Amino acid sequence: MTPLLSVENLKTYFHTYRGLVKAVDGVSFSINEKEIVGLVGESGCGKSVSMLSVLQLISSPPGEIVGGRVMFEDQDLLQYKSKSEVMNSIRGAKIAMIFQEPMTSLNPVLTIGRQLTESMEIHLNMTPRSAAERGIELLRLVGIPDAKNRLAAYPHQFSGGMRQRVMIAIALSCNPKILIADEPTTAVDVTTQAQLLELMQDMVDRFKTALMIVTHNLGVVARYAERIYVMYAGHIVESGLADDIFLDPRHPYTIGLLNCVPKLGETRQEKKLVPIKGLPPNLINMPANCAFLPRCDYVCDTCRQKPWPSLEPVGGQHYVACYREIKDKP
Amino acid sequence: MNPGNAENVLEILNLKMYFPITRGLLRRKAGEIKAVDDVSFAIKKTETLGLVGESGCGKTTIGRCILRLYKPTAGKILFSGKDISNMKEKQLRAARSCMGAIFQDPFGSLNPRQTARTIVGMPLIIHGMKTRDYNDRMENLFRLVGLDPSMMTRVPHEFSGGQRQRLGIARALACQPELIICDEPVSALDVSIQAQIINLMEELQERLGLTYLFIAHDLSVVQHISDRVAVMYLGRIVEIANSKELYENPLHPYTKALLSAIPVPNPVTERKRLRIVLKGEVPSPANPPPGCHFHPRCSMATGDCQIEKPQLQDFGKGHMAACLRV
Repeated sequence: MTPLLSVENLKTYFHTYRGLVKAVDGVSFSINEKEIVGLVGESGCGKSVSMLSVLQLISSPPGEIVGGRVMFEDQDLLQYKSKSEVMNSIRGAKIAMIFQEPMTSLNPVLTIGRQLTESMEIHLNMTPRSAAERGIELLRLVGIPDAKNRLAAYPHQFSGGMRQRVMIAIALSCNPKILIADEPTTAVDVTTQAQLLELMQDMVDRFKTALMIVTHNLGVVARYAERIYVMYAGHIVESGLADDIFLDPRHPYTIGLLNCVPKLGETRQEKKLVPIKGLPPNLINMPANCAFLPRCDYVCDTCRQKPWPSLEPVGGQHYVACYREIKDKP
Repeated sequence: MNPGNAENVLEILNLKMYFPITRGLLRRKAGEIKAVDDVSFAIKKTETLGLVGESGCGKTTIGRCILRLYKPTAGKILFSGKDISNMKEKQLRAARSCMGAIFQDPFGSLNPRQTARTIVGMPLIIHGMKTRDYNDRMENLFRLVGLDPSMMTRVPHEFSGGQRQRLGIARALACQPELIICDEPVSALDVSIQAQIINLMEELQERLGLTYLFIAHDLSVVQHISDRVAVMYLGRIVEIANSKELYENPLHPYTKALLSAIPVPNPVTERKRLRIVLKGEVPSPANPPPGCHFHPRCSMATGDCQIEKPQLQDFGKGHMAACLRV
């Protein structure tokens, strides 16, 4: 089975005054039809940039997609210019995105109705009236009460959770094949987060959409994602089925990440947190070897001498980019 | 909770903080937001009390009332036995020197034009504690929070988020306070840095015998660091219990929903876990539902929940909940 979207060796660099920032440096991932995939990493690891590169939303300069392939429907999207007709017909229609900040990603001076129907009118050639009808239907689906009257409302009249529901409705309006959710629940409360995640799962079931959840919260992807990619400093360091990543993590970074979050119901008397030492690296002019090396508990001579390791299979669909086979996990 | 207990560093009695809503040219009062509505609790010496709730529930307002950044509408705030809720500025200054505060945003809470040294030393200067050993004291403070004293001359943008939060902690510790109000101290940090700061705060507490009021929305973090946890909903405390007890035996339906909404990084337990997804949204505090504030979203609510305001009741071992259905 060929994956719906497969990104191969994607490289997105930023040319800044202080040096070259390799925000995404040789990242490969894929997503199959109707699959939910998680991409996990801390801020600045390049997870958002990888997603924006797929849709060619990187502003250039300073950004530049310097290499790789983005295979979607038997063609490489990177051969088209960002503003080409092909990209315009894919962006928002076949691959849709939900952005992190529902406050800033909705236009404050346009009504919800206008923002919701715009992409349907453009991509699906719908008349304003039929687009509005479908808009009401979508708002009802994402759980906005009194949908008919809410079309004329402005974003500031909605709460944060409601705005994110509107974002979900906009993203689903053209029946996309792939929905990319970039930190969809970071700005909202936990109970709202639970509502939104359940809603997104329902929606991708109903619309038969593949979903890519980009998040820094390991817990969010544990429940929903089938496969998970873990990113660090512009590279994917581990990938595999959710069970592999959470129950048998192999990369020192993944192990560290899982150990440093407090477990529910575990007080400090029972178990102290084990933080990852040091700081995330500055991505400007990085050395060629593993970027996790200064923070790693399992460093060996190979790590210091050889360049960044490539992803190697460790059984099944589980891949790890590390020279060490770690057995004595804490 | 024993009022007047000498062990208590802080006692809050029936605290109310209402903010007026004004309308029109004459700014006539059109209503009020009951941000904190009749809240009482106490914190013992060297204890950490966690305060959790969703945004807008009044947890930060409580913190600010304790620091007397707000003057409470009603109620008492006993700090080391003295009521500070009505104190004048002059007396307050003395009381405030025994309190520290750590804020959420490590970017916004440090003056970008001041050096790290000025930021950390400012409380000492303000409270007239700039003595001969000032330089040594500054160096000690920097070491205490795990920063190199050579970084003293830098300005905030030269520090990373985690280091900035360390600066905030050093500033809070400068006057050797008894009580530190920590308002979402780790929520703006990356997970790997979060653990470093939590561990630092725990170490400091053990070494210096500090008392914390730890305000945060992330129940798993709060539960980890706190001895006791108070859960707030729309200006009221709905449950307060020992941290372990709260997790193992939550009584209030809101606490149950909150616990079940927290994602657990383990797919096997996640799939088995029952998730209570609350209906609707938190109502506006300007017009809260009558009776129990939680009743419109509660699955257990009956008719009398809409009329009667539940009081905190003791269910043994200091486990208190405000619910008619428990």
